[in-house]
This record gives sequence, structure tokens and C-alpha cells, in this order.
Amino acid sequence: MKLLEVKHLKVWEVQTGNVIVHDTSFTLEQGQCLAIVGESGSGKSVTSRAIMRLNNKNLQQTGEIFLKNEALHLLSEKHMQRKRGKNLCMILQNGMTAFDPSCLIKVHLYETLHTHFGWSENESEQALMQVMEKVNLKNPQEILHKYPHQLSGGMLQRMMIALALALEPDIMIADEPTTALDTISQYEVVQQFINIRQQMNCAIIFISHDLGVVRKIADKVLVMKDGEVVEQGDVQAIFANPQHDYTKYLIATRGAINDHFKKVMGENVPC
Amino acid sequence: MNVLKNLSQDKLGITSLIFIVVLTFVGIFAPLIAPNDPIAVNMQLRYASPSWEYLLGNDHLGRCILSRMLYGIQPSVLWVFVALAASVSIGAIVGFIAGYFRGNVDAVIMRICDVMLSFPVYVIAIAIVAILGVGLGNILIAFVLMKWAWFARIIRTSVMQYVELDYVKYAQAIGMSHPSIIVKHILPVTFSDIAVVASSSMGSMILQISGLSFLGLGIKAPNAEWGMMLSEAREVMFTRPELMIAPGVAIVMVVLAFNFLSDSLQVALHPQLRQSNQSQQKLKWFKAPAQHEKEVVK
Amino acid sequence: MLKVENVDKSYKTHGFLKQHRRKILTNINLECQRGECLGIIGESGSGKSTLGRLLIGIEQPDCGVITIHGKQIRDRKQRKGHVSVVFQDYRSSINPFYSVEKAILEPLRDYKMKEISDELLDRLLLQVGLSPDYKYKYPYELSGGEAQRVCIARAIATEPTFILLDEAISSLDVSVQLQILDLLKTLKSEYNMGYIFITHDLQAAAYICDRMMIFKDGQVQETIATKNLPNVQSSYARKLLQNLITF
Repeated sequence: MKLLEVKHLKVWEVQTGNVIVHDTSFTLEQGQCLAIVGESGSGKSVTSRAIMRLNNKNLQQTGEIFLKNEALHLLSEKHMQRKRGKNLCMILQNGMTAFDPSCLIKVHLYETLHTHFGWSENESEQALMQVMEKVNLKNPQEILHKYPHQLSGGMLQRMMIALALALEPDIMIADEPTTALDTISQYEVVQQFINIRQQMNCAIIFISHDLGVVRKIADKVLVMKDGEVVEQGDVQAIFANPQHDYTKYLIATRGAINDHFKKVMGENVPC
Repeated sequence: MNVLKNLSQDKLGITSLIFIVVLTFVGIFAPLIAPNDPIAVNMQLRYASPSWEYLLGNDHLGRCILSRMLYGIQPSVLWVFVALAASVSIGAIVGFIAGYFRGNVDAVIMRICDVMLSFPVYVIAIAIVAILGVGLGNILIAFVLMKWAWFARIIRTSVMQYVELDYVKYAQAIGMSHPSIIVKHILPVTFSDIAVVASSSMGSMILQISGLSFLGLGIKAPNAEWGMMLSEAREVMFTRPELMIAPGVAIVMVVLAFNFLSDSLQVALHPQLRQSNQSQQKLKWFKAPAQHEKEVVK
Repeated sequence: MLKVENVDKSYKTHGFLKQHRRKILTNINLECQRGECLGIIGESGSGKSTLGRLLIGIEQPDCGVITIHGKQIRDRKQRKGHVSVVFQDYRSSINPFYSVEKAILEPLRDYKMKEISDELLDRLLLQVGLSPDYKYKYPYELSGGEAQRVCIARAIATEPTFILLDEAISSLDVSVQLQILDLLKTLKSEYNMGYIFITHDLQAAAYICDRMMIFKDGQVQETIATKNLPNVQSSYARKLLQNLITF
């Protein structure tokens, strides 16, 4: 069954008329992970935000978006707000700016859970304890009582994933969740995504420019360039046998640094 | 003169500039231009309506309002401007030093500012006048002494957010001297902040000076000053409201002109704003928007 | 050429009543020769950027000395023309009021007062792979890769002896990263400069660096030549290698 279907999505700037995303269509099935790759400015973030209908006021969009055969593009803003979080959940690039710096982590989390499920603090805490264990955050009590700046970027990112898990969304949209992280936390976050995919039946849209991460996580990949989808299909097939020149270029440049590294490391490449 | 050229494309800006320049000249050459003697009393013409001889009519002592307005430019606008420029410059120098070098220098300067700011301006102005004697010059000195601390604080805050930028660090790394870094890299970006603060306090300063003149501490009675003219007209506000119009409108126009000019200077000095005047895009390059993404997560 | 000896650095953290000092760097020693590229690898918050600021002399270490050609780097006159830097954030690296031309010529103008020929500017732009027409552009008209190229052109203008690259490629796309890395490699051999390449990206560092310093919590865990990378000893470096996501 098709979980999400996007048909002929087009996004443009109101003032200038610049088209940012041209006629994009794709589908996502239950439990699948779709990666959107492309360089900065290729419109991959705008596409993901268009699904959530979260773009700025000066960006207009047309096209059809169906979530479980329900037309999201026709919903009123009020109904859409209810869909966000509960059905569609977003994980952002920078954990530091995603949490309110002036209050404890738990304040934001409880508030979110309260709006969607009407849970009391106790219920929320119980639920969060469970999901935080899932994303490998130790001492959940302690973490909940800290301020965002006291946690590392990787921890905040995992905290956001934990929150997303607690909401049990149909689709989790992750916008460059690993880009701002250093090697070790990046690895941990990626590991969590893989775990989630194994344990839960949750579809993921994963936006990244790092082909290495995409290859580890995704089933399907969508390559975007200047707002257009140049190629889409199965991850392994595309990486093994790219059709479009741009995909080839992306893979070649990523490969060059990597090949050099492999050469340096000889046989010991951990992968 | 790139700035002037850019400014000339902005109609409002260039109009304001011309207005201020003309006003300055008129003020300086008031004795040559004014049609009548501004302090000549003529009781027969009390509250006379505008006539060909007295274009704006006469006040409660039958003095020519137009001439008084023209003579009033010098103390009301020009001297206030000089005082403002002096206090902004002192404030800027101190603020730049404090904001750029930080550390102990900053701490000492800021405590001095705190001390200065803890005195009420009016009280100190009166005290200074009591020591130095009555007169516009002494009032202005009092203002310069009191106001610089306020400017220094604001400018310091503005400087601090730009010192951390990478191009400033780059300039430091290549061994540029601190004064030239301040002049080349920090002054242009903080200029808009300084201009806005200065132009908005221009208005309040004109009014404060006239307030002190009203108390009899500034300009001495027969001489013309806009604020004093306003307060004289105040006595007959309900019977002859038209007397307030000339000085009132003049003060509003001057303040507006300074505000508009500072706005257009900002645009003229800023290469990005020059290109696109869309307010949406303003300063996006400089201040990466501190996105508050909390809502999005929900 | 560039020498760092026993450097410590700590910052004051302001409590409400009492002040603490938080130690950022402990006992750092390093040396970088002309024509060499030394990588400093560490995660965010490990103090590598603080070290970077010390290396370009804009901050003073608590103790220890940093010298270039045997002279104190803290002395601004010694830095002139010898030291340069490229930062991560290409948005704030160039004065928004400056055209590309003015930005690139800035260090030259400051370094020696003599007239600068137009050819030099064009040559610099061509060298970093931009057309000479770019000199009339303003920073906001440039893409990330272009802005970073301008920063590199500006950095090499005085033909310095060493350039600090502080996460210089981290905020660029992977494909652009490769171009910049290749550019840096070419320039290094051409001008015989020393690079200090601060990054969290081990793979990019392996691509360009001759030696690497693995950095954690303000301390050097291990310094190793890139070709010996598989044989790292410290546990942190091993973990780093294991957790690397390769393509």
C-alpha cells in the first residue's frame, strides 16, 4: 500500500516567480526509507517542507500530496497542524536551534506530547523513558532535566528522534540529521535510524548530501538537481549503475575522497 | 562618491538631504535672509494673521514669526546637531574601544557609563548650568557630558556582535592594526545602528533643549528658539492654536528628515540592499536568521 | 617553521558569585614545516578551533609559546604576509561591503604599500578557478564554493608561509569539497606553503594531510603520519576509525 504519494509538486517564490521545485512526483511505501540527495540549493529541503506544508509564506506550492489516501493539500491549516507531529514528524539538522534554549528539555517534550495526546507529565515521562532507551540515551531522567546547551549535538539529535518515536508517526522526515555532527555522533545517530527501521514500521524520508550515510540507511533514492528530480530508484541499483550524468558526478566526487581514504587504510576499512 | 550617487536614486533620501542642507544654510545666513528683526516688539500687531510683510503672522508680542523661525534654526537645529555629533563621537570612540578590546578595558568603561547613566539628565544639566552660568553653550556641554554614556553603551553592544565575525578575525590574523580594522571592517557595519540611534535622539534632544529654554536656563528670553516659541504659544493654545503650527511643524520636519536620511544612508551604504529593496531579503547575508525551529518540531 | 610548545589555554566561566576556569587546551606541542599539511582532527568542543585562534595569534595562550620562524606569533608585525586563514563560514568571511576585488587585495594593501597590478588580481582569481569578471561581484552574489575560493585567493595573495584552514570545507557540498581540496593541493605545491587543516572529517583530512593530530578534550591523543593511519594506537583514534561511515 502506498503510504505517501506526491504528485506533480511544484514550489515557487511568490515575489520573483522563481520555481524552486519543478514537477516532482514520488511515492513512499509502508516501512520504506526514501533518501533525497542533492547539493545545497537543489530544493531537497523545500520538497520535504512542502510535504509538511511548512514552507515560508513567500513560497507557494501546487500539486497533490496523499497520506494514506487522504489529500493533505486540501486540508485546512488547522487540520494540517494536527497531522504534523502525529502523522508526519520532522527531525532537523541542528538540535541546538530546535529546542528552546531558555527551558529544560523536558518542558518542550511534555508540551509536544500534551498537545498531541493530551498526556499528563507522568504519562509523558513514562513514554519518553521507553523511547529514550531505544535510542541509546542513558540516564533519561537526568537528560530530561538539562538545558539544551548542556547536551552535545548528537544527544540532542537523538533526543529529537526519541520524541519522534514517542509520537509514533507514519512518516518521519529527517532533514540533514547527521550533517552538523562529528564522526562519532554521526555514527551513533545513523545507527539509531537503522535500529528504528528494524524495530518499527515507520517510513522515513531522509534528506542528506552525504551519499555514504544514504547508502547505509535508504532503500530508495531520489536525486535532485536545481529543483528537478534527475533520477530515482533503488539505492543499490543507482549507486552501482547511475544513469544520469549528475548522479555519476555526485558519486564520483564522493568516491574520490573515499577511494583515497581506502587506499590509505589498505585492507582495514571498517565498513 | 558612490554613496551620494546611490543616495540620489532614493527620492526620499535625497529630498531629506537637500532639506537639511538648505536648512543649515538658511540658519547660518539667517541675518541676511530674515525679512524682519526677530526681537522687534510691535504690540499693535499682536496675534496678527499672515500678511505680505509678515508671512507667517505675528506672535503675542507682535514679533515676526518667520524671522524668529529662521533665527531659531541655529540654536534649535545646528547647535543641537553639533552637540549630538560630539556626544555620538565620544560615545562611538568609547563604545568601539570597549566592544572591540573587551576584557578589563570594557569593564572599567562600562562601570563609568553606569555611573553616568545613573544621574538624571535634567538634574545634572541644571547643576552644570548653576556652576557655569546660564546659556545655550553650557546646556549643550551638559548634554554632551550626559549623553555620551548612553551612546557608548548602545554602540558597544552593536560592535560586539560584529567583532566575532570571521572577516574581522581574518583581518586580525593577517596582522592588520586594530584602528584600521575598526575603521574598515566594523565602522561600516555598525554605522547603520549608530545613524538610527543618533537620528532618533536628534528629535528628543531638540525637545529637551527647548524644555530647558522654557525653564529659562537655555536661550535668554528675547532670542528665538523653536522650543521656546512652542512654549510661548502654549499659553494661548486654545485661543490661537495657529501659533503652534510653525515651530511644531518645523521640529517634526527636521526630525523626519534626519530619520529618513539615516534610513536611506543605510541602503546607500549597503551593497546588498542597494540591489534589492525587498524588505524580505534585508540583511539576510549578515545575520544568519536565528531560526526558531521549535514550532517545526511540533 | 611554525612551532607550538607546551601551550595551555583556559577560559573564565562566569558563575553568579564565583568564577571558574575551564581548561580548553592542555600541553599542546606541534610543529609544521613549509610544504607540509598537518591535520588536526577532533569533534566539536574538543578545543580545535581555540587552538586555531591561538595559531593565528588573535588570542594569547595562558602559558607556552607559539613561534613562526622563531618569532612570537602574537606579535602582529611578524604575522604580516606570513600567516593567513580560511574559515568555515563562507557567509561571514568576507566583509559584505567589499567587492571581491577589494577583499582579495586587502591583505596586499596592508602588507606592502606599493601599487598592485590588475594582472595579479586576475591571476589569483584564475588560480582559484574563477573568471576575472568575479572581481566586481559582492559576497552575497557568490555561492558557498565561490565564496570559499575567494577566501582562498585572498589567503594566498601575500604568498604566506602558512595557512590555517579552520573547517574550511565542512559547510560545502561533497562535490565542491573535492574541488576545493584539489585546489588546495595544487596551490600548496605551487607556493610551498604549510597548511594546518582543522576538521572533524577524517576522510577529507586523509585526502590532503601528510600528518594528523587526533585531538580530544583539549589534548593530543596521537600524532601520526597519514600513511600509518591504519596503525593508530590510542583507543579514541581507533573508535574514530571504526565509526567512520565510508561510501
